Amino acid sequence: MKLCRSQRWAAVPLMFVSGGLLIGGLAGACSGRKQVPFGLQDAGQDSSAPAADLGEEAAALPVGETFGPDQVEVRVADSTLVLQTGYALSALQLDLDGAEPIDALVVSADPHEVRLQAAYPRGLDVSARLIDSFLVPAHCVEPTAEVRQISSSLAGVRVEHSCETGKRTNLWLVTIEAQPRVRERITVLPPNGQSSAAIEIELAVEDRDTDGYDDVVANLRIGDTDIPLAWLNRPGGFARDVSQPEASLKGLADGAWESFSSNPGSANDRALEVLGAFVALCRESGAARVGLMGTQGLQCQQSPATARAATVAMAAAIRQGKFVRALELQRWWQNSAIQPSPEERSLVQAAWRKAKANAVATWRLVDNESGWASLYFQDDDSLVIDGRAPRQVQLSTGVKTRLSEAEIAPAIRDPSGRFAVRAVRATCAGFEAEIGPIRGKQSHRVPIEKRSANAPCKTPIDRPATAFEWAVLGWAPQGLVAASGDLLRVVPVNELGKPAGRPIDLDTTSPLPAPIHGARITADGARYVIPHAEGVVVRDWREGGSGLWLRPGDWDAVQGELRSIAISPNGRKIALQKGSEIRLLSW
Amino acid sequence: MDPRWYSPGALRYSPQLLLALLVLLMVAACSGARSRPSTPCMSDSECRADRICHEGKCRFVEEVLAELAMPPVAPDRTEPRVAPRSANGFMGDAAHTGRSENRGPPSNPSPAWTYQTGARVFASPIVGNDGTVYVGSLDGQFVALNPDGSLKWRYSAGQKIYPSALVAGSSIIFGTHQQELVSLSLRGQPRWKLPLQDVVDASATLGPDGRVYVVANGAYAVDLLGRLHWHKPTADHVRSAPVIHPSGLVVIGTIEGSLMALRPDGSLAWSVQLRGAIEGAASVDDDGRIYAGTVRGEVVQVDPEGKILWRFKTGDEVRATPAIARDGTVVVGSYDGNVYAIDPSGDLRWKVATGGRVRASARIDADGRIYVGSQDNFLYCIDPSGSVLWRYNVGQDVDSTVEIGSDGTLYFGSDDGGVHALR
Repeated sequence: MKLCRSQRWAAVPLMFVSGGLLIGGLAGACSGRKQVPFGLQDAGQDSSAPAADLGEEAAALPVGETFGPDQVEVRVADSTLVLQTGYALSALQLDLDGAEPIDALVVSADPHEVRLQAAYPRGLDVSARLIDSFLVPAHCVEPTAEVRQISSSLAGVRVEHSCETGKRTNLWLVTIEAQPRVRERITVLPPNGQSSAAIEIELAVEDRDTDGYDDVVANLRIGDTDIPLAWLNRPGGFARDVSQPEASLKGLADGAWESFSSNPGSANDRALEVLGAFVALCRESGAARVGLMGTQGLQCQQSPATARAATVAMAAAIRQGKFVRALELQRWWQNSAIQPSPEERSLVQAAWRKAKANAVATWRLVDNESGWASLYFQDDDSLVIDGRAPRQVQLSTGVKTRLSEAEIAPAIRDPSGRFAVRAVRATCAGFEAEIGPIRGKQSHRVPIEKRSANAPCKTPIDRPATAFEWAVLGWAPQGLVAASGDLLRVVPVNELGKPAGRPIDLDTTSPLPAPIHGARITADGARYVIPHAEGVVVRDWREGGSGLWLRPGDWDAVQGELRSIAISPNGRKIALQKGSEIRLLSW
Repeated sequence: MDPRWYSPGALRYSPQLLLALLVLLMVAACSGARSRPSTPCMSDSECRADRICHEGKCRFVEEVLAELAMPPVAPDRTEPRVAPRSANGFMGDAAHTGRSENRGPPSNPSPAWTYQTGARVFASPIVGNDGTVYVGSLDGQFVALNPDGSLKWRYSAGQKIYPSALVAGSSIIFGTHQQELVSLSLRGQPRWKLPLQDVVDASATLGPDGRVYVVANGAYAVDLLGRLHWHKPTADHVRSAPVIHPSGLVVIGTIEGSLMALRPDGSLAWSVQLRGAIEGAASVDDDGRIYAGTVRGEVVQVDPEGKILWRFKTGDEVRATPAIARDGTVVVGSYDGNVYAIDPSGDLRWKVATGGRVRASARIDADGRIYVGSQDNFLYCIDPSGSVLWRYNVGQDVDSTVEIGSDGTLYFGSDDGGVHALR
């Protein structure tokens, strides 16, 4: 790459690490400046000049003055700008309009807002023009700012606040011209519940695409991962290089994939770095901390690198016996809407098959049912098989009793016994619970999860959700308790089974609503069962832990996929339908 | 008007009158629909414009509001022992006097049961008319406990619950750190949730107009159907539960130290600067005088027009709500570790030293006995003259205000997540 000049701009201390020719306000330094169509003035200089004077040039670029508290007057040339609101944080004297006297870029703040202004001396007065501003959350205080020229045509403005959970950084990339414009505004938010990695950002100017014009690079360090976000200097203005962050993440994910067999620990660490960077950077994670121009998160869309990293981390978690964690990681596949490659899928499948069961599980045949059957326990010894011929099986004796329609009480019913969940459907809207009166044909739907924007619906669908997608475990007074992998969600519904507020995702410190009427969860919510293609995970919600992995030795001998599953009220027995067999699993 | 309308003959022969009578009959028949069985429904859209769908039936709004404000009939005729009130909430009544019509244990009580939650229980347990105990915890759970301490149902908010519940008729209302006000049926099913613009730290209060007042980033007035009537924003977050003045004013304290009185329409009646953040709710005595504590350690008496009458200085922050005994004595704890009794003229009547900061508000039973917890791990019972009758070692800080049940059981929370019942 042909480098005209590069200037790194770190938080503390700010460093100049590379450079180019002395330009900008330094007279005549950029004599070879190219003309850019559309009159774009911030195209930078011709980078074909020798790089010998890099350090000298970088050191010569001016840095603005910073002010103490409550400074309301800013000296601009021989005049004074008196701020109408707030107080000054920093100002850089530079020529914006190409005319004497010299002008300034001024950053000021009050408790609610930070403003960037251009100040122009006009006789004894100074006129100020607002370039941009942003609002500050109430919990972010003690702003500091620095204005620095980073090229002949660009200035960088950094503003930092101390917030409740850490530092909040705002970077403005501003053109140096008569009417300065914001080319980009990058915001780095403090850590949140899903992303706690330290994020540092440095601005650099370099010719990324070797077209002879300075491009801007924001080097992001998220934990130990470096991701360069570049803005290419094009005739129409800056264009972000959209190959990032996927290119960087892919390099890391591929490295993790290749080293997994030889060094699974290191591979897992690298994979987790990729996932952490994705969460911090990408809008699709829902917890992004890096934003551009006021939007939160970069649009990463489908990320094969993330899916691959999730595969490696999942396989590592299964090896380590962290089964609930593995299920959590499996949601990455769904969330990123990427179908893992056959190799990735088989790596995870093999890991599950080889997973060391926590307990010796045995199972026995209870009955046969060729079609799909709903299973639930009436008590610890009686299982209801609600299939073509509804029946109750006394587990201790094996006695079967036919049940009439009136004797079937759906397992997932509301506290008043009026409504029941009939099914979970996958539609173009997402996943929905189909709810209707216990006796009657009417039904309505309650959204459990909206369809991910990553996976738009190409053709209309309305099919039953599989046992591995969203399932409703039970119905508590508060609403439906739904699960997908390790994730538990309460979907509030009112007395009529209608939605009653936003769904609440429960973390492991949150107690579950109670009592719960359901097949796959105990009434007190202490234990529930998660089906898996290769076995069954039992999770103790209160005690936490990595989950109990149960897989009878002859699991594969029973043909067919897992269709239905139920746990006994005491949480010690599991009934499941695999293929056409109804089996009782105990351990 | 045609004078024939007033003659008896006109009554017999006027076709217009016959028509009018017919219309009257139709109107009367239609108005009778209010008492007829309601139409089944699943949503408001299935009901006529003047009705809403409530619990599966199309009903008139006023009818539903009146029903929601009434307590349900107790299934067990032996309970409750005192007449049911339309609302139970923090500090007993909308004036926050802390007075209870029930009698607590005069001598050393014994633990009846403890229900364990996963985090600090800051809220005061509230007892419903059927004896069910309602309380939230900082682990995000809101529980309904049977009188024997067993779990009736649990609501999971996913975020901290600081405020005490308001049991208003057949609704249970509380705010959460999920930035919403939640209304549940007595069975624990959500009736409605009202999104607010900030977290809720203080209990809601039912006004005489049937509206629920709650604070977050200002004060909100909501009816029992969850409809927002007004929001009066404040400069910063509000942590003091609204108190209702007999004149109808809604009084809140702000963390900038302003005591604000709002009219029932949300307009500001007056505001007075107390010179210290107001973290606890204010209270109102029988003569309409208002009391509030500040983090500057003062208890301030304010008249109904917002004029400061006196200030009483304690040794440290006052974050509790001043309770008011039947003789007008103001009882309040301070972070200096003392419980103060102040007469209505602002003079110290007595004080009792505890071994820790006093964050909880005091409750006063039917015999004038005072119950208050301290951060010295004890719950205190003090007689009206300032003598400690007994103290009970909870083993944890008690920042939760005591609730006195109809059978004399004392309910309170502790910092280890326990909900305790003493008899």
